[in-house]
Amino acid sequence: MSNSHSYNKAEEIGTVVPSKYTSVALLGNPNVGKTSLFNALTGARQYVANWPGVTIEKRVGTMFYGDRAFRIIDLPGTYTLGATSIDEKVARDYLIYESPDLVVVVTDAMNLERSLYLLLQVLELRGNVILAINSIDEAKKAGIKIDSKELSKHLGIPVVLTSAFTGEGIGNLKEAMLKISRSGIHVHYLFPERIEKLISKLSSSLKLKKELENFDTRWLSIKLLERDEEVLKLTGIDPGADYSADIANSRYEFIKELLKDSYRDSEKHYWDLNTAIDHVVTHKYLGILVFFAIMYLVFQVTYSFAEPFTTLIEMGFNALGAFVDKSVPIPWLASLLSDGVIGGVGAVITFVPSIFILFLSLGILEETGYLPRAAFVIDRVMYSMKLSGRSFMSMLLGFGCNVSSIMSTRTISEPQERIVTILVSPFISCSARLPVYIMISSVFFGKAAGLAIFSLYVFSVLFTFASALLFNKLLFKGKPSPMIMELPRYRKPTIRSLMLYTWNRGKHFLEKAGTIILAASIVIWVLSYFPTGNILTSFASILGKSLEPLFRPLGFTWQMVTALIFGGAAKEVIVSSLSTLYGASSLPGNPGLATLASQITPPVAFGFLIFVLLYFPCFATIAAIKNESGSWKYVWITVLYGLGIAYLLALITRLIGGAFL
Amino acid sequence: MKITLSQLPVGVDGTIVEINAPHELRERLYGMGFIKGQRVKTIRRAPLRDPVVYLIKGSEISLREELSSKIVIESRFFSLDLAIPGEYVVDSLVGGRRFLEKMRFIGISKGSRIRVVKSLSRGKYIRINNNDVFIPYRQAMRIVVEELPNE
Repeated sequence: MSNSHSYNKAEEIGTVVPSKYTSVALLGNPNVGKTSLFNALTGARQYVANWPGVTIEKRVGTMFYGDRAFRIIDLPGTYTLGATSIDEKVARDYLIYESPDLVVVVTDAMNLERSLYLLLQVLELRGNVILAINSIDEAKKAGIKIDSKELSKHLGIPVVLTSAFTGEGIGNLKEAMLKISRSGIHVHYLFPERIEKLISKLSSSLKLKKELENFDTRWLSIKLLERDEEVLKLTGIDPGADYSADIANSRYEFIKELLKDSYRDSEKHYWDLNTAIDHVVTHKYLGILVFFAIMYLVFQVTYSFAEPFTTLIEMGFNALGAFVDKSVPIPWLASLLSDGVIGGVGAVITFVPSIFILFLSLGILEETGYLPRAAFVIDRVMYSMKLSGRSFMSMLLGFGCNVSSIMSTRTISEPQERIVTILVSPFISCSARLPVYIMISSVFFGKAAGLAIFSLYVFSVLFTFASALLFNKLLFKGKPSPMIMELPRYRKPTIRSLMLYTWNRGKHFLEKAGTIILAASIVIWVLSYFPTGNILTSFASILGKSLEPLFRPLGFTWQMVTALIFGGAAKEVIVSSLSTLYGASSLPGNPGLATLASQITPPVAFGFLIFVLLYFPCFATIAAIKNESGSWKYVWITVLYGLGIAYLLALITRLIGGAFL
Repeated sequence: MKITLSQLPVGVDGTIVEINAPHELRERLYGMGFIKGQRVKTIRRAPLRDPVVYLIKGSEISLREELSSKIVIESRFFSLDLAIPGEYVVDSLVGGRRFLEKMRFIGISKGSRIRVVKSLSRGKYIRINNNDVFIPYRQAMRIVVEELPNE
């Protein structure tokens, strides 16, 4: 049914479903297929936003079932309802303070025992809980038998077996959600008597506190016994001893009893293929080889697979520009439309195929489960820079977009490692810089263009690492965050989830092309057309020319300087402004870029690319740095550091290159 | 014998006895299944030796030595460098063909009985087939032994 509805824009979801929707939170361990289940429930009626105050991705979607509308929130993956990492805190705070109508705890059929631990913690906190046991298709194949009726009887809550991959049980899950939204269920499970005694003792003293009347005192008592720091502060009570180990053991004991009658394991031959792949992928020598091969492949695919599409789009925009130029009688309007709007946006749209393919590749790496392996293989290297494989994943995301990279540092629990990762993230060559590399490289480096681009990526990685070390030394002297990371089993990603992954992120680029970049293109066109109609005597020329002496040692032309200034809006704007300033589209070999080629030497061009890589990040990234680090101080550090080094290295590139050529 | 999780050889399992990790990490370790009495097995080491993947409650978790050295486990199997004087059986040898040949020359192979006579920081004096042999620390690390109960 989900496909029959047309796609709604984010704002419409709020208006289509007025206050009568039922709010549902999806909660579960990382890698249990929670997001796939979310996709299966909501289809395309979803949007990605941020949690208020923090910038962890918040996926919200709408589902219609029966006579009701459900608003489903995909909470960050978590192992416990503690409050030690920001992910956990977001999930927990949502459950406590937003109190959704229903909670669906998503667990993994292949690993039920461990994932039920979180369910118990939710049951301690609230009612109206549904247990979804996901990946039931894989479990069946592995010969695992789960009796959901028996489980449901013992737990007292609805239990549904689902598979987001085959779609099995999704209907049952919807039915269970509908049923609970009408009736409601609250259950308790009991701890061993000695713990229950402590709980009731604490509860009775908590009940006397008026300011806590909105909280479940039983839950507060359990958290106090676990010495949960937030609850200790909230209640002002200190029970003394730490019972957390005792309580954790009791939960697992309860799970053991629960699964005795309802869960039958088999010989886990399922793991054999998994182990075989891991044997290669994390092997002493092969593992590193595979790691670099995959990274290289991603960028080759991004570059070469996209080419036919890129050429096609270029041809289309050129034809459109020429047609508009001819058919509009007013010269300035014709110029605005063909050079400003069509030329500027067209130059950026040509790179859409590359960027979608890049996100698709990253999506495949993430959804199959390779990314954590990559983090595992590379962790020791990151550790020597006081970072972890976790920050490696954030940095890897930076190849798509520095903003998402900075946002993803939320998963790093150690504040200091987070700050360092945020500070160095802008030096990771994001996909918006790729258009600039491609444009300049295709003009100056001919057949070596691919190599030039690859070397920029390698340089970006090395520079990021070196900067991380430097920042760690200068700003902090602490230890890196502990890397406790699960290596999930490999999964076949579904086409649908890959499409949603790619679309949700690629859309960002399209939106930028449609808004900021269009605006920037028009501003640039205005600056370069007025007051005289001649670009050489325009405002832009005056601006660029007045700054040009500063960049003379680097060999940059005033057009390049002007483009760099506009690059602050978004790095890919450099492409559109260069093409506007040189009066042409970005087609390789066109007369405009030939002018550029005659003005500067290849070493200067390479220096320019290094400058583009390192100088101040785009406004969106700057805003993200400010938000995430919480201070302008860090923005200044990374911006001034980047600008200084960019200038220095571009100069060195020119000098060294000049000496050899 | 009680050893730390970081000392547990690859392919061997043990039982968790104690978790000495800082409080804020313990909570997450519990959530992942690291509790007292739980069996845990070393699966493999990263290419640069750290971190290490452990199998616990059916899932594979990667821990750094920094943390795994704070988890105490009970295991009948450990590397020879940790052994106190007593009787042992060689369970496996971790190394290439040259290492295996070297060990065979001394008389050590899978299943051979050895007696640790004296334990020094730079290695172990062992008695095997009525010969006294000195095994340097670096080699001892690569010999996995099983404790034999005292008679």
